[in-house]
Amino acid sequence: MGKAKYWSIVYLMVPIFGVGLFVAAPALRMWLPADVSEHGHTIDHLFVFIMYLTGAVFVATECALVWYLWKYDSKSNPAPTKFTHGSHSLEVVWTILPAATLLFIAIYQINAWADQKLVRRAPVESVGPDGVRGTADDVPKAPIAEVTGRQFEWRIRYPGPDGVLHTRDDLLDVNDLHIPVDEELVLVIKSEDVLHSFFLPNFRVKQDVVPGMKQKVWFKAVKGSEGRSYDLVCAELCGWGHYKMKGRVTVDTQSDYRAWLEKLSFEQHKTSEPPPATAEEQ
Amino acid sequence: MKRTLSKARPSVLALVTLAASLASLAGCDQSSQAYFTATSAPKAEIQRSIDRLDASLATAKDEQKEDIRTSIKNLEEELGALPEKQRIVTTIVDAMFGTPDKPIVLSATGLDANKIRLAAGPTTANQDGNTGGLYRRHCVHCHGVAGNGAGPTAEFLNPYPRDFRHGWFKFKSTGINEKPTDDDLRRILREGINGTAMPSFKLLPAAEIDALVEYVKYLSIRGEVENTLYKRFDDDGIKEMLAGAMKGGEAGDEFRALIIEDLLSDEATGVMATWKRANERIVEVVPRPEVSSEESIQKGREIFYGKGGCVQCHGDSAMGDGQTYYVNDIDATRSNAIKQLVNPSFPMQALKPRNLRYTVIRGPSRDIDLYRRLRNGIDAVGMPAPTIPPEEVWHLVDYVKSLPYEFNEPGPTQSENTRAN
Repeated sequence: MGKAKYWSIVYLMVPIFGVGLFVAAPALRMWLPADVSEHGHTIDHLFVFIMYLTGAVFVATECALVWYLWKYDSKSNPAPTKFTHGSHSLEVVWTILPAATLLFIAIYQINAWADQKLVRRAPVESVGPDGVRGTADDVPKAPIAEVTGRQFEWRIRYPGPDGVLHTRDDLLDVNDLHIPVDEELVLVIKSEDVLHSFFLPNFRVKQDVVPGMKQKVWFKAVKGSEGRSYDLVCAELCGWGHYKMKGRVTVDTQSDYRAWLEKLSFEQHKTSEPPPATAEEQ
Repeated sequence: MKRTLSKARPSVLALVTLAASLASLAGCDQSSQAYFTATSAPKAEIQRSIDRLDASLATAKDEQKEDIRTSIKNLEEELGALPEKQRIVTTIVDAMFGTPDKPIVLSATGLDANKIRLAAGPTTANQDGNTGGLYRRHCVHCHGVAGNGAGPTAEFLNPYPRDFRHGWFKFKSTGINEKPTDDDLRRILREGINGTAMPSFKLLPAAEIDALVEYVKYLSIRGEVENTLYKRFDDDGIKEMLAGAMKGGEAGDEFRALIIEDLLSDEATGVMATWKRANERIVEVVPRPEVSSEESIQKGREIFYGKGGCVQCHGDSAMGDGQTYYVNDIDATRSNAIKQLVNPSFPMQALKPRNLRYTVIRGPSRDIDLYRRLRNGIDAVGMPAPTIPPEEVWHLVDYVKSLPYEFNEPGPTQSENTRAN
């Protein structure tokens, strides 16, 4: 019995602290940001499911590692190791098991992916003459805004009273997106220069924006999120100022949202301004 | 042998990399020392004049050559005297305005010392989330420590960042040759300048934006005083004052007070005169004429192609390609304009009339901003004000706003492959 085997205890700390950190994370406020989207729970469910799956494999592998370190330390096992050419059946098992698991995950998540990424699953205004959703004759829901990533800010364009983007009555803003609560909504996202990633952590939306491509994202802010602001960040290293590329999404009630657009419109079209306050007045 | 070589290579590489990074660090240090002076400006300008004259020698007529040679000689003498000039000007300006870490807020500038303190110096943050050194946190990468528009990223940008030391600003509610108001600078900070590398700082707290506005003004005023000292260095009064101020001690303080009085506070020519009157020089916006927007756009089109003269630069297609008509010494206009706005030590960038079909309008783009821009022209870049009655400017605003959408159909969103469902 040598003392060297006690070193394996150090390796045991890895799974213990690893799991401990995950258990303590929510209490340490290091867990996922609050989810205020309708679909977010499916994303979170997939995250947690895959975390448990990989977590179990991680713990099992670590324990096996520590057990071997403990059992086969050189002092208590003076006989030299015998070389084997391996086990064919063992290899078949450890190839097929992970492959089957990965295949299962691929199938299990397929709807969550499709619902968020396939444009034909985007919210529709009406399903079209054939009455079937997801076919070419669907009338897609008009986007409530276009958000253009640019080093290092998010330019926002609302369609204005006519509801159509890129017409004369568009309303412009930057870094300060307002959306209505409890409404299935579509955003057009673009990039003006390099790769960015449009990331709304609280709405579980993340989509790379590619220069030259015009993409859509869609989500619904749940009731109870109105009156609050959430982060809009860039999740793709886009240059030296990447960390500064932060905007804000404010969820409004329907009436607040309309008031916001009216305020923007007023700012854009006003023809007079009060004179600036003098130093004494300030 | 092979083995030692392959072993040696990584260590050699590592050494070379280390040496290179040390060298670049040393370079950084040097250049940051030089940032807080206007020194590069006169030097680059004089050198450029010499180069231009040198080049003109080849094509000049014989009787002109002597004059050109004399000019070159004079300029070279000026260049030789520059280090001494620089030493004096830098010492005095530093004594008046302090350094980036310890700025001095002269009461003659009317600036708020608390705001300047928040914006100046190295970046700091405490546990309550209060941050200091805002300028170096947000602005320095492009605008440079001295506000000379030559930060580390500056040379990669087009257009170059603003060189505050000249005191020229393009987007403002005041007239030509006037300073911007605080509100104008605040708007630029909040909204950014679309179409340039200037991003929006909208989400910063209002107090931080105000502090940065104040600091930009501080850097401008400092730079303008520095530039004025260079320009008037050999004037009689100035020469004595400078010599006196260099002596130090109480007598030096008195001379410094005189310089402040003359360069800063003088009601007619002082640097502060224009800053202080900015609020009174806001351009009046007349009411919109009561016509339908279609009619207004039509009238605007007539002005654009007619008496407004816009077409000369912005082109028949309004895509900014009209400058082919406009050959009247445009190079000189450009170089002067650029000298006033950006760091003069950078290679020149072409100053192009805007492509008005592009949906991005550079600078603030509310109707009122466009009205003022079209009413005044744009300071320092050579865009003149059209000679039309003030109410007709609204038609031009409407026309310019309509240009990007005149022939544009919004494109479709990216389609995925449309296989059968």
